[in-house]
Amino acid sequence: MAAIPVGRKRHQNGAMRWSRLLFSREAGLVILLLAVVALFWILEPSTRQQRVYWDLLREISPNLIAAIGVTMLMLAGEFDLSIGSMLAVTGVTTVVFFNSTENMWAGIAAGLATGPLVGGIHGYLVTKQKMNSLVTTLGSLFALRGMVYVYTNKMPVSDLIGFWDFQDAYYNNLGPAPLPFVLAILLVILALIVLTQTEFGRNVYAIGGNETAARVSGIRVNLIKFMLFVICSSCAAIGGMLLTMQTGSGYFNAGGSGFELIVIAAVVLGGIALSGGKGSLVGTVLGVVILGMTAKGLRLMGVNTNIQLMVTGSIMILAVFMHSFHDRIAILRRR
Amino acid sequence: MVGNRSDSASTGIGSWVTRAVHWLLHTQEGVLFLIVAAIWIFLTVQSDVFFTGRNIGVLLSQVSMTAITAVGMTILLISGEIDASVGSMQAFVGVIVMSVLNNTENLALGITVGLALGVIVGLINAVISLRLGINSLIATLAMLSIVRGAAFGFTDASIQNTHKIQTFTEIGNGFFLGVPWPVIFFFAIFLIFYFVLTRTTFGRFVHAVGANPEAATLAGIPVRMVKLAGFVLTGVLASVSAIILLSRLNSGQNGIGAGFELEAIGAVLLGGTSLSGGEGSMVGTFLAVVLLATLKNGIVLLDINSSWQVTVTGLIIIVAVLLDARRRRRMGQD
Amino acid sequence: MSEKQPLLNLRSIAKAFPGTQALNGVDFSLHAGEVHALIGENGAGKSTLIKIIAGLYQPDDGVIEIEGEAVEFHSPADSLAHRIKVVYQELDLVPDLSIAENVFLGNLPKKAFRTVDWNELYARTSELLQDLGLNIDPEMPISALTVAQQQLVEIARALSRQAQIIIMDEPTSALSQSEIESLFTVIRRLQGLGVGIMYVSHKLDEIYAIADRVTVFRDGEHIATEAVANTRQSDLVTWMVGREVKDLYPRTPGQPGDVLLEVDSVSGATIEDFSLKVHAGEIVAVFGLMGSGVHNLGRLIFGNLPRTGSVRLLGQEIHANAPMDAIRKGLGFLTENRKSDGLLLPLSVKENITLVSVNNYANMMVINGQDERRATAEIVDKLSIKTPGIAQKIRYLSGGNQQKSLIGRWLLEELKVLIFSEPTRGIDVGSKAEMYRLMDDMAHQGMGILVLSTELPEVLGIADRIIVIRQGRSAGRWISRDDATQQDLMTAAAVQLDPAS
Repeated sequence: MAAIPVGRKRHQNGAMRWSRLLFSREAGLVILLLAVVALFWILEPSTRQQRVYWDLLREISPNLIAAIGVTMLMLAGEFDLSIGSMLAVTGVTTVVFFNSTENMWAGIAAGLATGPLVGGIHGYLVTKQKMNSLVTTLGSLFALRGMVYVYTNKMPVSDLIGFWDFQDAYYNNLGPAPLPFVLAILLVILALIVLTQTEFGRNVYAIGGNETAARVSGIRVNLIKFMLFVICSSCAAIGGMLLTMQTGSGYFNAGGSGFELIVIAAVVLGGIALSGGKGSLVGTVLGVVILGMTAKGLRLMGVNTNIQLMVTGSIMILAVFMHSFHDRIAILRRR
Repeated sequence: MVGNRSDSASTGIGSWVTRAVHWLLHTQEGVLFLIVAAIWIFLTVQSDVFFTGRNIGVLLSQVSMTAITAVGMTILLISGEIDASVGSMQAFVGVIVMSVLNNTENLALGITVGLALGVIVGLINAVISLRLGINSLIATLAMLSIVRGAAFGFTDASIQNTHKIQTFTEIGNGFFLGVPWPVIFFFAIFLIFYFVLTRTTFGRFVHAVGANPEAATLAGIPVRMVKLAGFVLTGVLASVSAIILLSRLNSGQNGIGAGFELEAIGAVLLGGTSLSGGEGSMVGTFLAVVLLATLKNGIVLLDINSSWQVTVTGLIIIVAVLLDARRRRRMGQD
Repeated sequence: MSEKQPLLNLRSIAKAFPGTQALNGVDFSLHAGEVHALIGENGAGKSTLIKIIAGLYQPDDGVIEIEGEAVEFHSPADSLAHRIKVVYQELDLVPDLSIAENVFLGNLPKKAFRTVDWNELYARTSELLQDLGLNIDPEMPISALTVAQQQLVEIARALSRQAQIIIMDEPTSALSQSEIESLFTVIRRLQGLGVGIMYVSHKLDEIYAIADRVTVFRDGEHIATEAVANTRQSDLVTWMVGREVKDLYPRTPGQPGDVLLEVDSVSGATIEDFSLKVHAGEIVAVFGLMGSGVHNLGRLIFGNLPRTGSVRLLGQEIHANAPMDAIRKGLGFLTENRKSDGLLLPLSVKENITLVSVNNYANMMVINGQDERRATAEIVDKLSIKTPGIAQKIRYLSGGNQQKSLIGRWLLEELKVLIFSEPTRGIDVGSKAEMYRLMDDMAHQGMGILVLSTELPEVLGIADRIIVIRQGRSAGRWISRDDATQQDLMTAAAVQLDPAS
């Protein structure tokens, strides 16, 4: 048999692994995060307190949880634009059930159930009816928000019973760590294990990388995509639950000012390719923290809330440019 | 096989009827047309007010802003790119044009500045997307934030009309031969760009670069220039929308236009334009815009809770895409 | 033919699509340890049959038997469960996953809680790859491999599932001669292991080299099944085309005229210091193996890749990096990748044909629809492009007709020289003959034709002068067909790449 050129050696040495880590996407994001923190450290004295960072982690928990679902979906090459509206659906449902059943757990269960319900509908429309997910979920972004408007008449729904435990859980800590963040991190770890260590997770990457290949290899593409839509909406529902815990009321406009765009921005910042199949959840976590830290730092500096938008947008362009640069370097290094 | 007929089809009433039936039942435009017609008939029966010149004028004026932006967006989407920043443009152009008008009392200058902003933002979008190679959805989402921030940076309150230029107020509220000016702008822009897209070489190039940029390059088409023109055009038409909106609101508001981009993009997609480029229809966009406006108008006329407007917009997008997906599957395109 | 039960037996399989009967009651059988070739022109129904066996399509009628037992495939998973593996023409690999994950795609070894057993995965992959003579790190991303290596990964994938039936769809379309040889070695090994191989191809010489039996389909019908040893090549062609193709290569050389195209020490991409001339009325071919740079040459000349050196058309310099300039001066270029570089799939036949020339029918950018339609209709007529109308979307046309439409695109321009890169890749025998006739015509009308090809018979059959390219450099020139033998050209093209041969 003709000799076929030999590739790299079977096991890479330590130095190679280190250089791989150093040149990874995530390393770039860590540097970006440190730069942002350092910048605010210099510019704004109040960011030198530890408390600020614990608060930050509490505040970004809903975004982080929602971003897990969006990441998994985007890795498979699909989108969900409706997560902002999901926040309101979950919040309003939860509080409505609080009031009607006078049972906290019934309310929470009902609120969380909206996730699989909406996700299931998306999954059906995309996998069975072959609808484009971007447009489908754009439609449900409007449809869900509108239903909340109709049901609440654009009035916040207040918790008439007063489930204080529900609200306390949001503000309580486990050791120094805010409870919502503990929940978020647990979910991140779970998702990370699923994505990197299980057959399901590897199949998600395979679908995003080459859907036809996945299909002909006997991977049940439709089933996996369906599950991802359910997971994504469920993550958004958990995020919505946290937002509801903040105030104890269901707000009709929760997530209404572009929550989906902020989350997608964080995910893209984290290096998940729009076309699917590429990126890691660690990147997403870093993306969420970077955007959250930027917003918080500017807020503490008393910068106009909306100048924050400009900065956020600029960071996004910078990061995506960084990623495409990284890809080019990676190709060069491979040669 | 349906949808595959010759340009040189035979003439005569029979073939004309077959073609019309085919258009109605087997194209996105046709299906939209049927839906619009059905709702118009329903509303005419249900409400005395609906089919009156006044109401139709109101209906079309209200939608003219979305429609004008959607015209640019149709061309951009066909060329394979997208612009999500048009929502923030409504605020940004609004506050700046109003302040220019207040300070100079010069209408021509105000409008020129407004259109120039459209060109500039379009150029920035183009440079980020085409030069830096960042996916235009991401690039313009970032610009959505940046432009909104710029609007807020410019003013932290709304800018009232202190110039009292009558002609400016006419832009959004006046009539010409009984037709509201915004409707005239809307129809004129639609007709011009329908012609540009279907009858000119530029329109052909737009389709080509969207369908296959590599093939277009090898055919000697300046791909980046064509896409850049699409971005600039979308920016300028978003500015035109913003100026009409400004005139109707009579004040420049830094928070206006949130979600406007989704409505415009939604209408274009509803009209049958493909997200993957190369395929699209200006007529479809027109019908989609009219459909969305009719639903909103009908909800008001039938005295239904106005919150239903948002729900119905969403549902109609889903239904239309569903119909389109089924049609494509029947034709074996997937 | 055999007393033993066939591994796979398909009986009277039928499948219709809107507007076409893709398969009309065809039979096909495959025995253990056999290579059974399936050939036919485009549209004969080969790929439909593959997709039915793969479980992607369900037949309207007919029976699929595995070792005598009737089965039904509702999804690819069902087909895989019967140890059938299709190696598709377009490689089904996931670029960002590791080699090992690609080999075991959809079939990863698992530990508790359905987690991946990485040690097992890498160990088994190494083993499989070594069996195929491929000594590479299974943790590397698949994108780091050459096309030939990726093909072997596909076969490793089949072996990882202990496939007893392997279907290869045009497996050599992207391979060089030496890579084809090693593929054949692997196939013979598999044969020895008792695997049945269905070999789908339209390269007849390969069928003689590797297959035991051959089946011919035409227009969805089963035409013949014969032992390869008992069939003549001309029979196969007749069965495929349904008529006798007397003269596949109709080249009638004329008198070469003035120099049209001068390529002078061009370097860039993988090409170094390459020169050639094309005269009026002449067909010049550049022959090279896959990876020799032969395809880059077209892009360099046309100005679609950065280059140094000079390219002149009728003495006028053609600017690098501007296809527009090349076209304006009378140079056209048909790429080797029709789908990715040529066709505008969502657009009509008319819009595809007039893509380059549309400015000729426009006044102040406004297109004169009548002129454009008339010009298109003439081309459709002249090239006998089979289409229900010029408004038909080009994606519905067959490969041969798509290729003709792309040529038509250039015929509407007043060209001096047209570059054909792989003019007949992926098109059937009937269309091939037409394509060559067309090139001959164009040369007789005074155009210069430059052919870039990796197919030896084609180069020998059509060219007046041949230049061999090896590792980006010129490796010999031959004046006419009579001068050059297959042996000469192959030696020149391959000798340094593959010292063994």
